[in-house]
Amino acid sequence: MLHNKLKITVGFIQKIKITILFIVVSILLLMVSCKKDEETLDSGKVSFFFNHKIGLQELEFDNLKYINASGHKYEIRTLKYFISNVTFFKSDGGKEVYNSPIYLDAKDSSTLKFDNIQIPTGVYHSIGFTFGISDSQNISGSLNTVKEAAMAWPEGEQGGGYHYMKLEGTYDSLGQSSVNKSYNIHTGPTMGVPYDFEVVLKNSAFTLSDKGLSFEIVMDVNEWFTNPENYNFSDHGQMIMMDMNAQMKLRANGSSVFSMLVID
Amino acid sequence: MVCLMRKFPIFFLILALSLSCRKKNPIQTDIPVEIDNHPHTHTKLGTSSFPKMPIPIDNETSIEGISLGRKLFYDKTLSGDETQSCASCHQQARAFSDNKRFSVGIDGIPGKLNALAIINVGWQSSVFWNGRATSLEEQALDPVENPIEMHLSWTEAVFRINANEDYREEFKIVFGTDVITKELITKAIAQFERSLISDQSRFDKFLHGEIELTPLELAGYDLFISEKAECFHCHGSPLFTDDELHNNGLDLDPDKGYFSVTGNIHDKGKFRTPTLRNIEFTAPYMHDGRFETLEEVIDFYSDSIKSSSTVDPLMPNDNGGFHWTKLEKLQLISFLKTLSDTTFISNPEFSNPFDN
Repeated sequence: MLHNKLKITVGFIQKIKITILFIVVSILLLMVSCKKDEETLDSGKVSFFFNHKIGLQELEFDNLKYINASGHKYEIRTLKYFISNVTFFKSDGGKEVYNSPIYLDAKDSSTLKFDNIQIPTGVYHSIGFTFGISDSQNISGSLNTVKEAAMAWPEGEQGGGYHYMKLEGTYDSLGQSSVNKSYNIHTGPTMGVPYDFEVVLKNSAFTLSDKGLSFEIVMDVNEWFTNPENYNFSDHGQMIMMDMNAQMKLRANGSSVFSMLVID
Repeated sequence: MVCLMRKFPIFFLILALSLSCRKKNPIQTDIPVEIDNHPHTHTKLGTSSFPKMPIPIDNETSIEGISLGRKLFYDKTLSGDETQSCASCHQQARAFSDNKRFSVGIDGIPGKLNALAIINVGWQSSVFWNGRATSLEEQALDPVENPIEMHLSWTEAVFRINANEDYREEFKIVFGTDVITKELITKAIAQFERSLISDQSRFDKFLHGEIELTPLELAGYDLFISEKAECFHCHGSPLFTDDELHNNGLDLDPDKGYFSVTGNIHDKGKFRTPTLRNIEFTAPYMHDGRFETLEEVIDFYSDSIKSSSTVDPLMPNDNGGFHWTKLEKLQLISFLKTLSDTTFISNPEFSNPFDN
């Protein structure tokens, strides 16, 4: 009787052991198969938008009220540009890179907002991007929308690809003309030589938790015309696509054009 | 297996859960899934050398829809006295424009603007010279009821189309209903208009390495894409329009243009940039058809640009124009004529179906 009881107990324990083993194996299987989902739990959402200012003033189109470092009063009619290689630099040396060119039109708010980009949580020391389209990606006919196509940089002597920026308007020529003169700041790969440049936003360190983060990137248009080179519309107002001197000045000035503001 | 499942139900439950956790491959399809249950044939529009055509999700293009739209485009029952169709002012031989400064409606009253050509309009984000319509569907609602154009109420137009059994059958195939509405009529017309693609000009063949251009044409092309002529910023390849509105300096006191849409004084004198494809076939030129020939247009840009507060910064607004030589003018016109696409104006698929 006792022997039989012992037999039943041992059998019961063995059964339990096997069941526990299966449960452990199964849970391990479950953990492995759901690894991707666990990774997304370590991600946070980053949202940002571009804003355009002149000094501290919000950009207002068609209003001749801004003054640049060369003393010209000017207004802005068009501001369209590309950025590419948006990069979030992690403090541990890693980085999250989004290579594709992004088209922005300061008049079209739908092009200025980027919501819920998922990147790993953690500590980041800075955010950067290429102003314009990086040379390896700047290939004629490679972009897909009508608005992007309208940014084409001519083939032939000019070199092909796409403009980096179209900044157009008029300015008070300080007596050179009876009417306001026009300026067309068209930057791009002049004669095939790339003038794109890297922007690393100052004070852009942040810690991303799973709560997410929003920030604003500001272009100060006046900074295109100074720091370190004073850019004078009288010298480089129009026809600058083949003007390497103008392109170099704008590239040099570009490093102080953008800044970042963390919202929450 | 069933026995094992009975023996170890927890294991199989967890196994099933674990399998369900696997990341699924995204479903990839070139063609939108047809949730509608009517037998039309979705078709893609576009051409490899152009940007992607933006097609509205509520009016996917089908072969049957294009065919129906073509009939409606050429159907004179859509005008009050049944003497005019869309094609009366948008003639294929003229790249879907007409040769009049102002088209004349069924009551003999002329319009106030030049009839725009219908070329590669599927890529446009706005329609009409002043850009007041944001889709081809919206645009097509206007001319039928316009008292100086086809002058027919939509109520009557819909009644007439509904009375036609062939149309009812075709609408059922294309849209899944034989209850025809003005919205469905304009959707079909828009589908046909999106199919009017021109990409077979001599210039296209030159780009594909199939033909050579003459030295005069090539010199014109070089000038066209230079800042000396400054054509390409508004009329850049491949569409030869930037899909924007500009004041190109026609007048000291410009017409209303986009101002009539936005109410913004800074938009006065701005009109849509027309494509230069097939420009040889679409005279007269400008929103008010003031120039009869390409030579007159080139002379204007060379020496007669007028300064005003809204003239575009791309225009030399302080010295009257670009000041081209006689030879440069010839070169530019030679190049512009390489954009003529004779297959477009003779394509039988675009022609009047009632003539066949």
